[in-house]
Parts: sequence; C-alpha cells; structure tokens
Amino acid sequence: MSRLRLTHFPPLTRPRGPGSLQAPTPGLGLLRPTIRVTLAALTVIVLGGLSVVRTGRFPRFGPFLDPVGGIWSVAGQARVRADQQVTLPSLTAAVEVVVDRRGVPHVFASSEEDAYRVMGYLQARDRLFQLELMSRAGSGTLTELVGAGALSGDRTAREFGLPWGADRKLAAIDTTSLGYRALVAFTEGVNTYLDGAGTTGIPLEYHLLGRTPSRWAPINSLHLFGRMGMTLALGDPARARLAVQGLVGAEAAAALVPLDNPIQEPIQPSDRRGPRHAFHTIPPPGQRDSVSAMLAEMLPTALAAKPMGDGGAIGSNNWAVAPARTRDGFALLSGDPHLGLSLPSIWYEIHLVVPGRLDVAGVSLPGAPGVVIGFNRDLAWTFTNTGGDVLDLYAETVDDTLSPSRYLLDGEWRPLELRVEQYRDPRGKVLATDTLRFTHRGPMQHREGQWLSVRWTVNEPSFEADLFLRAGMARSAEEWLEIMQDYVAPTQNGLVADRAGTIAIRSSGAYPIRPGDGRGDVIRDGSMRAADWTGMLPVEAYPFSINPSQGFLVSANQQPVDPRDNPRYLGADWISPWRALQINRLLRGDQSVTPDGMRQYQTHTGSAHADALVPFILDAGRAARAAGAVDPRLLRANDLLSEWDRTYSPDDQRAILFDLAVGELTRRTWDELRRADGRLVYTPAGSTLRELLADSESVWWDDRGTEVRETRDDILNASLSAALDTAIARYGTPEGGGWTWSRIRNANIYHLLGLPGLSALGLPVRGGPTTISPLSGRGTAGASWRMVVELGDQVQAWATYPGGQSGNPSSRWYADRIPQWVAGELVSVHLPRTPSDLADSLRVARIVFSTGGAR
Amino acid sequence: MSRTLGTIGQVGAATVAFGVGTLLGGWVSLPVVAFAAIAVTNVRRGPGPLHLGMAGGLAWAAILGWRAWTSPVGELAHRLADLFGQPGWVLPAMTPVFALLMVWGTATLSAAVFRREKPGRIIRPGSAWHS
Repeated sequence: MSRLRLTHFPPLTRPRGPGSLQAPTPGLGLLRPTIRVTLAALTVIVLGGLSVVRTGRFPRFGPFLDPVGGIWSVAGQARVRADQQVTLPSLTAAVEVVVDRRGVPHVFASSEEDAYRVMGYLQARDRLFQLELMSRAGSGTLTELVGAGALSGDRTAREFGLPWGADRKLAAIDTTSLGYRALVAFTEGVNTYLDGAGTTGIPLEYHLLGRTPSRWAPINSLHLFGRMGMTLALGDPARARLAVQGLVGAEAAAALVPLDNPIQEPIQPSDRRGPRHAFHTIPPPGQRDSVSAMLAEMLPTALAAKPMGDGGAIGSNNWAVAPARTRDGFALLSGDPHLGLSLPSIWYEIHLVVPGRLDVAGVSLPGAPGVVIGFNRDLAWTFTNTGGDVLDLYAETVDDTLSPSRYLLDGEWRPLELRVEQYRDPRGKVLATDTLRFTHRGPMQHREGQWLSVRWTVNEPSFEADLFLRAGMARSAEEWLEIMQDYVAPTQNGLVADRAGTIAIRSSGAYPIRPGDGRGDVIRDGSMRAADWTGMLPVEAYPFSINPSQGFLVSANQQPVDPRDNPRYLGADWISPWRALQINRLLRGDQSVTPDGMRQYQTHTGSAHADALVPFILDAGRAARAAGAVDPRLLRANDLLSEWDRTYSPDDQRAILFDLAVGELTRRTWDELRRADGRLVYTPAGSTLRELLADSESVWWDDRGTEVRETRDDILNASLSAALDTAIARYGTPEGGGWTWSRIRNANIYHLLGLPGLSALGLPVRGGPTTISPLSGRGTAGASWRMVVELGDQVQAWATYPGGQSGNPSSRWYADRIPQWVAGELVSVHLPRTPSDLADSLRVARIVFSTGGAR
Repeated sequence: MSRTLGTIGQVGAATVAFGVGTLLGGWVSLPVVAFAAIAVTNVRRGPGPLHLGMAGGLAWAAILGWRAWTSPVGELAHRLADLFGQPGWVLPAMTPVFALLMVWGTATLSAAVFRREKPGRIIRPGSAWHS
C-alpha cells in the first residue's frame, strides 16, 4: 500500500539522509530542507508584506495582481456587452439605453428623475474616479484620496470657502425643485453602481492608489460646480494693478492694467463694422509706491493666476450665425469651450430622452446631472467664460491679530464664524488642522499681518445645476434666456440659437454692485458696512444682443461690451481680443456660412496678433536696412520673418521666429515691471503692447539695462535678432527642419493623476498662442469640446472632444476621439427619437435598467 | 504513466481550488488554500508544495487568460507597461509567478509545521520512486 502510494503520489521533495539514496526531486526540491523552509519563509514574508503594505509607487502586490478583483478586472470592465440587464431599485419604471459607436449613451426614460438616475449610474460606470477626484478638488478633500501631495490645493479650496459655499447652497436649495430631485436621483444612480461594483468594478486609479471609492452625495455635485468656479472665476485685478503701481506709480498702472481694453471688439456688437482702437499714450513710469507694493504682496497668490490670460492658457470661443448669412438659410452655432485638457476628458457626452418632456444631447460634467452645453430639437447653446470681476477683498479689523474671534463692523465687534478644517490622508491620519474664520462676507485669510475677507459670487447661494436642466428643456432662444437669467457664477457668455432663426448672447451671472465708483479692483475697508456690495446688477444691464444687424455673434473671452456703449464696471484687465478679432474677420468675410466652414474656423491657423505685430517688426528692420547700419543677423531674421504667412499650421517653419521675438519684445519692453529678483510682476496684455507700438518714442521702449536710450525700432530689431539666435541655438538652422511648428509646440493631454503612461502627449495640433484654437506653453489647455449645430427643420450636430467616453485606459473609448480632435474634424452626433431609431450598424450595446421588482 | 496522471489530476484539482478560492476570496485565498491543502491531506496522498505552487500559478494564469480572451487585457498591459516603465509582458508574467511563489512558500512552511517531511527519512532502493 505504501509503495502504491509512493508510486502514485511521490513526494515532490526528499531530504537526503544517512544511508539513503538521493531522491531526484525537481526544482526547489533539491534544496536542503532548512534552506528551503528559510527561502519559503522569506518568500511569504516578502510577498505577503508587499501585499499588505504599499511600497513606493508600486501598489500592494497581492490585491493589485489578483486576476479577479485586481488590476486585470479593469480590462473586464472595458468589455462591451451587446445586451445587458441592470437592476436599479430606485427607478420608477424601466429605462432603456442604447450606446452608439462613439460610446455615447442614449437614455430613454419615462421621467426626468429616472433619466438622471441612469445618468448617474452610467457616469459612475465610465468615470467613477473622475467623479470623486473632481468633487474632492471642490471640497478640499483631495488628500483623503491621493495623499499629502494635494494639501496645498485643498487648503486653497477651503481658504476661499468652496466647501462652506457648497453648504450654504445646499441649505438654500428648494428641495421640491427639479434640480434637487435630479441631484438625489443622480446620487442614487452612482451609489447603485458602487453597490454592485465590488472590487471588480472599480477604475484603475483606485487599484494604483490602493483605495476604494467613496459613496456619492448630492453635495458632491455642488462641489463640482465650485471647482469650476475656481477654475474660471478665481482672480482679482486688484493684485495686478497694485503690483504694477508699486513699481511704476498709479498713472502708469492704470494704463498697463486698464479697466478697458485698448482694442474693442466686444461681445455685444456695436454699430461699427470693425474693431475700435482706443489707443492712448501710456504715461511714463512714475515713482514707486511702496504701500501698493506691500498690499500686492498681501493678497493671496492664488489670485495672481490668470487662466484666461493673454498667454492663451485657456480661451473659449463661441459664435452663431443668423439664417440670412448661412448657405442653407438655417441658424448655425459653434461651441468651442477651452479648458485644461485631461484624460479622461472633462466632458461626458450623453443624450437624454423623456418623451414629451425632454430630448437633450450634448456634454455633461462628470458628477452632475443634465447637459451643460448642447442642443435639443429646437435650439442649441454654449458658453464662454466672461471673466467678470466677481471677487472682492476687504481689509478687516480684528480683536486679535494672531487668533481673532471678532471683527469690527460699524463700530461694533461682531463674532467671527469659526470652522475647524482638518486635512486627512487616505488612512484618516490628520495632516494639518486650520481654523478658518468667516465674516458676513466670507472666509478670511491672514497675510503679512493683515486679515482679509473674501466675498465671491461663487460662494453665494445659487443653483446652476437646476438652471442647466431646465435650459435643456427650453423650446426657443427667448425661453432659454429667461431660464438662464437666474444664473450666478462663474459669469458666462451664454450663446443660443434656435430653429426660428434667433441668435442671442448674454454675459450672464451675478455682477456685484459696489459702493462709490463701483470698481472691484481695489481693497476695501472691511470695518464699514458701507463697503459692502449693495446688490447685483439687474439682468437687463448685462451685456446682451439678440438678432444683431450684422447677422452673427461672437465671444472669445474679450471685454463683453464697449465702454462707450455701457461704461458700468464689470471687470478689468480684460484679455486681448485676438481670437475675437480673427473670428469676426472670418465671419464678416463669409456671406454664406456652412457647417463645415464653421468647423474649419474652429481650428483656423490665422492670427490677428501676428497681423498686428509683424508689420511693425518688418518695418523696423527695413528702416534699419535703409539707414545703412545693418546687422547681418537682423537682415537674415527680417528676411525669414517676411517669408511667414502669419499662420500656425503644424508644418509651418517660421512661426517659431515670431513666437520667440514676441517673448523677447515683451521681456525687453516691460523691464520696468521687473522686481529686484528679475521676475516680472505682471505682463501687460498684448493689446497694450500694440497700443505702445503706436508711440515709437515712448520712454517705455528704453531698456534700462543699457546706457543708450532705445527707441521702439531698436527694441523690435534687437528682439528679432535675439529670437533668431535663440531659434538657431534651440532648433538648428531654419533650413534644417527643426523649426517645424509641430515639432516645437504640441498639445499634451495628461491623465488626471499626471501619469504619462495614461496620457496622450506630443500631439501636433493646428494653432498657436493667439489663434482661435490657442496652443501655448506646455500645451495642457485647449478645446475641450467642439460642436457645430445647424438649426434646420431637423437639428443636426457635429462634435468631438479630446479623449473618449470612458475613463478606462483599456477601453476602446478611452482616447478614440483624439485623432479627430487633432485633425480638427467633427463627427455627426446621433439623435434617435426612440431606441430603435438608432440603426443596428450604429448601435454597439443595449442596456435595460429595471427596478428589479423593488416597486 | 499512472503516476504522472495522478500528479496531473492533483495539480488540476488544486488549480480549480485556487481558482475558486481567488474568485471568492481574492489573493488572500492563495495562502489559505495552500495551507488547507497541506493540512487536510496526509503525507503520502497530498500534492507537494511545488505542485501546489504550480497549481496556484496555473489558476491565476487561467483566469488571466480567460480575461484576455474576453476583454482587452493586452491593451491594459500595454498601458501599464508605459506606466511602470517595464516591458509589456512583465506584469502579465508577474501575475502567475506571484501566485506560484506565494503558494509554494506557504505550502512549504505549512508542510514544515505539520512535519510532513521528516529530515533524514530513508528511501530504500527498489522503492516505487525508482521503479
């Protein structure tokens, strides 16, 4: 028996013993028992340890490699099943979803709430990590997901009161409103997905971080809108003006950080048939103003960020054309919002249908119900950022400089509202604790010994999500405008066009009415209630236009209204209207606009900025040549620049020379604005530089670093020569191919966690720093959604965005749209009226959501 | 021949056990099943640590293979390779190797604990091992 057993079940390992034969055992069996056991112990300890404790950037081995619930389950989530049944207990009736070839779900429900429940489920399925990440960014709790590295960002969010503002908004919401019911329904959908996800349904990022998703709550959607407010409306022109004033005095500062842009091509069209150049002589640098310099240093550094700045980091466009100017006699609308680029994309495309009530398509923000930009069967709408000044700072008088509990208001001490804010890491360990103090205006910050309170419309009670939901149900442009008149923040240029041929635009949002001269680019004395806002501008006073005689409307973040038409303060330090100039120029020259023409305009490579500056640079070189005093470098640079057609196409060979020359010109011209450490405190807008170019003898042209007094042409020539040197040093000779624009400037779409392996980098796109589709710097911002809608008998739309519907890197829909986006192409958006309307060839999946008998 | 078939049968059974264990309990089931396999089988009938290790590796390889058959594991491996700066085959290969080593280690330790193998045990010439 024993032998039989040995015959059939030989031990794998056999020890050697005295007098025995050596048993030939395979592999590790050859090892001595002691060594083998020791090795085994080490193996278990090491692998077990690495599976329990995270080391470095690598996740915990065991949970990560587990082929069922680990990283490989992410591939399973990317599998597309042609037919699927899902139980969503909170539904009131079954909901059918068909998914088209672009990964877009078309949701057919019998009530709005059910549609938003399913929307929550689908967004969680496709973008769960993004939902949590973006919401946490708005609530200042990112450290709980990604660790201490996010502490600084979390502090900024809380210091500016975002979670406090979200609490206020939630408390003020009418719980019977459609918006609130949608938030709750959306939450149910997300959490139903979470309930069924287990470890096999969570996104890759959670596996990498070794975390599990958090439950969703209605307030998370409000955090998301707060985060958008931070992106689009956190800034105050006071900081720039004071910093400049500190170096060159008040008079020069007023010209360099102007209330009104020197080039007027406003959103609300004037009667002119072109831009207005309101150029003035820029006063020479005056005396330094140390008080202003100190005040500027006192202001939160976050306010210095200029996301919509001249550098072109972010710059949205929209335009609409009336039927009289289109080839087919239908209104056309182009939506082209620009934001920070990311994978997955900031947008999620969806089509929601509730027969007789709702039939809307477009893009939503992952984490919020409804469509933010899109169209229904009657109208289309889109937004650009207005950039209004909606944040004010107040110097407060407090009872204790270090730890105040009261602040002075009209001679009386009032208690401060205290909020103890704890920042925790993913394990719950407290990383930091701050006590935030709030006046009746908002959160206070302590800088350079001074307490400043912040009042910001982003924190005012409002309910944007509700407006977006209702706007998607509007039947005409007028109805849409009426719904959106309650919109608060961030200020947006809402453009709408309908099938009746109406086109309209309004710079919507709450604009504070301030006491005195009404300006917001100052720090006010917080000890007096008289310094407070006295109300909000009535909607009738917003920049607005409907069916203008010119037959089109354009917005590109430029100053919304010419101060000659409406001098009321809406903001200051407006960006240069280069994109607006270019779009207006294209539309003025096109009497027969087509949808494809609109598409081509979205990535037009022409630059109004180059058109404005290049003639001055070339003329300066020619003048030097004519004068006989010629530097061969300058001659060569001038010849090279004259070859440029002033476009930023990917294969262009000369744009880089202009790009570098502008950088040199800016650096040399505004040397008066450098601090002692050599850094510019502020870079005036390009349109201000254009204003200065009209004054060839201005003292601003003088380079203080030289003994001679330079003129405009001296600086222009020196800048161009230096640009040539730099270009050759960096990219080789002009003939060598190294100057190809697409080899120098690319779009870079980073994964939300900045992981290069999950990013799309080095994309050769059409455009330069000031083109309609701006590309500059690190190339991390750009067109986040491109859409053209024709409002004909049957609404037709074409669109794309840089990414794909899924946040799953192994999904076919993770980055499938990027090639279209790079090429400036759009694809037709399907708009089926019923599930069966979507042709079989276009449908890849059908999902039936049922109540599961719960009701 | 029959011995080989028996071994294959044992490894197969263990593979199923590890597969089911992973489906139900995740990676932690590897050491648990390995320990249990050693504990519940006696010295002469039970599979040895290396065979158990092979079974664990096979189970994970089979699950991964099934995933690759039904979903885009290749694309994911490619993305992860970029992410970790490793060749694309490394992570898929590491998956069964991890299981193999984890199971072998646990089984070897368990065997020592249960004294399955007594150092110095004599195998006589002519025993079935050599036949």
